[in-house]
Amino acid sequence: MSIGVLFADDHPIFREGLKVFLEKSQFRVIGECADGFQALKLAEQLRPDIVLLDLSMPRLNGLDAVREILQVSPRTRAIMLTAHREEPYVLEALRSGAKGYVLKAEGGPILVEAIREVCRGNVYLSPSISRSVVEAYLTRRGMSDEILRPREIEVLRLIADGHTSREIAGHLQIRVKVAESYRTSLMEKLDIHDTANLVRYAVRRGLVKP
Amino acid sequence: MNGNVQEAHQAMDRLHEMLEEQTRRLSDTVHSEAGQLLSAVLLRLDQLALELPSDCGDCFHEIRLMIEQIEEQLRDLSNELLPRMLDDLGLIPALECLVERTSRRTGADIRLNSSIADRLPAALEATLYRIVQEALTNIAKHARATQVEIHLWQDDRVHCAVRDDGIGFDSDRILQKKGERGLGLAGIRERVESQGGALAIRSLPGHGTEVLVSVPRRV
Repeated sequence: MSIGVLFADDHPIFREGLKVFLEKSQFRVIGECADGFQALKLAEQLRPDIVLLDLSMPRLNGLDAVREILQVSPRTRAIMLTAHREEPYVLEALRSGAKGYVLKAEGGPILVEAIREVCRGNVYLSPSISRSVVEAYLTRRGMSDEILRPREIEVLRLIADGHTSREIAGHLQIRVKVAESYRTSLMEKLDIHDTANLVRYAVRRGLVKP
Repeated sequence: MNGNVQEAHQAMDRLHEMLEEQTRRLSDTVHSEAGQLLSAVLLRLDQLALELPSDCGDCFHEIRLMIEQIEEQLRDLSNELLPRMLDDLGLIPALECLVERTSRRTGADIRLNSSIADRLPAALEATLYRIVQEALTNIAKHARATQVEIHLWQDDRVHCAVRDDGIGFDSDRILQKKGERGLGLAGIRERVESQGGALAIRSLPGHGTEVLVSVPRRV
């Protein structure tokens, strides 16, 4: 059966063009929406093979949506489809679990290739992106690795307040597994691997009172 | 603080907020509206290409390249006005990109050091971004610097220092003058002071320049 695609983008004109293009390219468009929150709902319901997500979207942005979609529909593979080519976005997307990163301006044929490759289980980055990402990796000059995102800071604050993953999930209205994945990713970013030191870090940062 | 001075600061603060809001809207229009429309045009073109006879290939390719160039120029413009990344990922990644662009353009070795790991209030992130942007613009235009260092750290205030090894200048004179484009250092100082912060410039002809800013964390 042909590949089932769900996509989220807050620009109606782009969505319209994308739908026609995907259909002409023999993909099955099973859903479309305008923000990350709807994408999450639709992904859970439709279990698409591929979800294409814009990065900057209202309500839930693409980066947070990826993580949550992968929890509700683990077989879905996510590709970011965006105008942003700066490498911190690419790294953050890969860290959130996206398997592909495609620039909108690179257009149709690249997108088709990305969908096919990602469906085969590979990671696909737009040609003009992969070079800068490899360079960044080789020089390791980025510091944004350690920058926590707002959601991670919320989770950190709740951990430091002594909440379990289950309680954190309840607080933030996310799944327990998603809360756990935030915990893991912030431990990796901070290179701190036990709760006691996480709490100490949060106190030092002034996120919680000692 | 004297009541009149405080009122003046509040008025200045509101004015800066309005300016920032307008810039944000402009940047969004350029990036979101025009940029996305071009992306849609490119997709339609690609779709058309599937149906075109093969001898139209060169012409098609040329058109596509031209549209890609427009898209790139709009993206640069939008970034220059206000990078989306500031909202999406925060101050440090946005500064890293600014530093990279400036080093590429000027050839100067620019280092960014930050010990700030979490997000700051949005207005503060925007102010700090503007300060570094303005400082780097000045360095690129006038300083003839080869080394630039940017440091960011926080205690109960957030501090930012931009140092260069350029030709330096008479700082009193510069602070009297408004920027030709953007806020200029004098404008930045007004903005910092209206947020309860302080800006100092140390520069001597021949001895490089240091711009030092500290702003309370709560804005």
